[in-house]
Amino acid sequence: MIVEGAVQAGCKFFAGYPITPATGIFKGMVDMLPGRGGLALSAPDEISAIAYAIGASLRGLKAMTATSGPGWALMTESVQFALMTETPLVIALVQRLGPSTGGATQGAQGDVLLAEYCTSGGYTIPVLCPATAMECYSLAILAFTWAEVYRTPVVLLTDKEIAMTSERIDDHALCPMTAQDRPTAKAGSAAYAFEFPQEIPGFRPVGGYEKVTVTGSAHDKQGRLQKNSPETVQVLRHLEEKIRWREQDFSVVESDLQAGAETLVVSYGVTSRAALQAVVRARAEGTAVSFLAIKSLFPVPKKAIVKALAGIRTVIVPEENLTGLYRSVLSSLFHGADVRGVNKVGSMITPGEILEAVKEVQ
Amino acid sequence: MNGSHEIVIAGFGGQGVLSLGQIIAYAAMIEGKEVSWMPSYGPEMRGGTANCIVIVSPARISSPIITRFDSAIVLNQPSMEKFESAVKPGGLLLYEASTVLHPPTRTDIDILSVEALKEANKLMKKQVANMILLGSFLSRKPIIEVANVLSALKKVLPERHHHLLPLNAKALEIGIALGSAVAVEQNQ
Repeated sequence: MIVEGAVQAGCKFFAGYPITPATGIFKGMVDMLPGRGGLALSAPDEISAIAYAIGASLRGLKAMTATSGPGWALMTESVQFALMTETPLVIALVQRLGPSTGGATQGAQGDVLLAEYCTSGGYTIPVLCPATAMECYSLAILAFTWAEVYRTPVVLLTDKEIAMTSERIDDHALCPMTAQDRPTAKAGSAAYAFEFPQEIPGFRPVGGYEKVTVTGSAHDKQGRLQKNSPETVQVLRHLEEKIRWREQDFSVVESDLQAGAETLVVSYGVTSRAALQAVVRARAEGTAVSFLAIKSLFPVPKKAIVKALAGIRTVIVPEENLTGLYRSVLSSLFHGADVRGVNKVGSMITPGEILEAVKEVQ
Repeated sequence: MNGSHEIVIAGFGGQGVLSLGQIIAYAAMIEGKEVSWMPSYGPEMRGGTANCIVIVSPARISSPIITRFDSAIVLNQPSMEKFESAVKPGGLLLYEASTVLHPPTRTDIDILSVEALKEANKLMKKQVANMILLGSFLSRKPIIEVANVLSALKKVLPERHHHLLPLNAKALEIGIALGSAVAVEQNQ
């Protein structure tokens, strides 16, 4: 469904290198994209794959690559290049068990922070996390829109279970829209022109009528390498400011709050589906409990979380990693509440285990 | 959940465990039901352990992962050890007779042993053993129409294998007959 979503979004270029459990996306793109006016390439390795995709995007095409943990490790340098050069790019990162080559056919939610904090400087990279086949489709389109409109790399973070599970979908309910396009530069303006730091510069393709300089090094608004000039520092601030300033535009959550509940279950990805079932079961047994599934992990949808926290004493964050990665990010928002994790590696968290945690509170 | 049926199918890679689940899921989808098919297997192409969880439901499915099953279809000993206890009381445990050395011992569930491999060998195609098991399963749990299984098969089998469709239909029939025969035996 990620492939369907990407093609619908208007993706015209894909380069990838096969890796379980992301190979389905690679194969799907190779099968489908050429017939839809695009190009799909098999790269010799992950570094080339993402570099090809960046190149295509610099030329003006909506571009994507897909990989899993070990491939992502190789790609991080180029992800930073895309961020630094404000190149729209979607990377589908299908999580598997780590560290290192870990378990190719085992799911996990262990790359949450690795995906977000892969840049030197901790720049905000939007991360979308679908939980169902339908969301793989709709969030893939949204990922392209964000990448294009805000000129940034966007991570579509799934896991083995989401990428490889088959589900029935209603194809009449699929969004028929394509992703939005990137803003275009006015003739004669600088290649990375902005007046205010939060502004998104208009895009000018490499190989067009006007000269474009692209560098991963610190640069001015013309894209010229410079060291420590005020304009360069302004550009560095702008890279973060353009996302941070629009933080609220990036909020995608599914909240199911219950009046009078003192316990809130916060989850994401495949685990949020087990969590939802646990919440439904708890309510059937007469326990009031609120539920929040986060689809846009970064920037953190603070407003939605704070809203869900009203009257809450205990927050439970189930996630499939050992140390509670996303819980650690959210904990500063949970001030005062008792925060608990339900954590597991090597196998999925079951609705029963989450229900147990909910009951323990009572 | 009301009216939903949760199945685990487990065995070695190469036995058709995952395809068997896919066929059930597709057939149920043809009937307009909500389905989820979640595979789980090792890194080996053949010989590793493999299982899949299939949920068929009239309502939307929240979690594809579950720990207790209405039915289990088991094709090897390790899977028997893993899943015998996971069948809900009153559920069905169906297994391939020759690959399971120690038969299950529970008394609160419906246990059905089918010599699928032997029958498949008679058809000169051991790959259809999974279809025989599917037939036996459907004879006990008619959650989907046999006709829809055959249409689903057309989708799951790559076109180059479509000449095997009649053979698979035959295997399915044999499975249904085997399942029904045992049922009659037990009733007597």
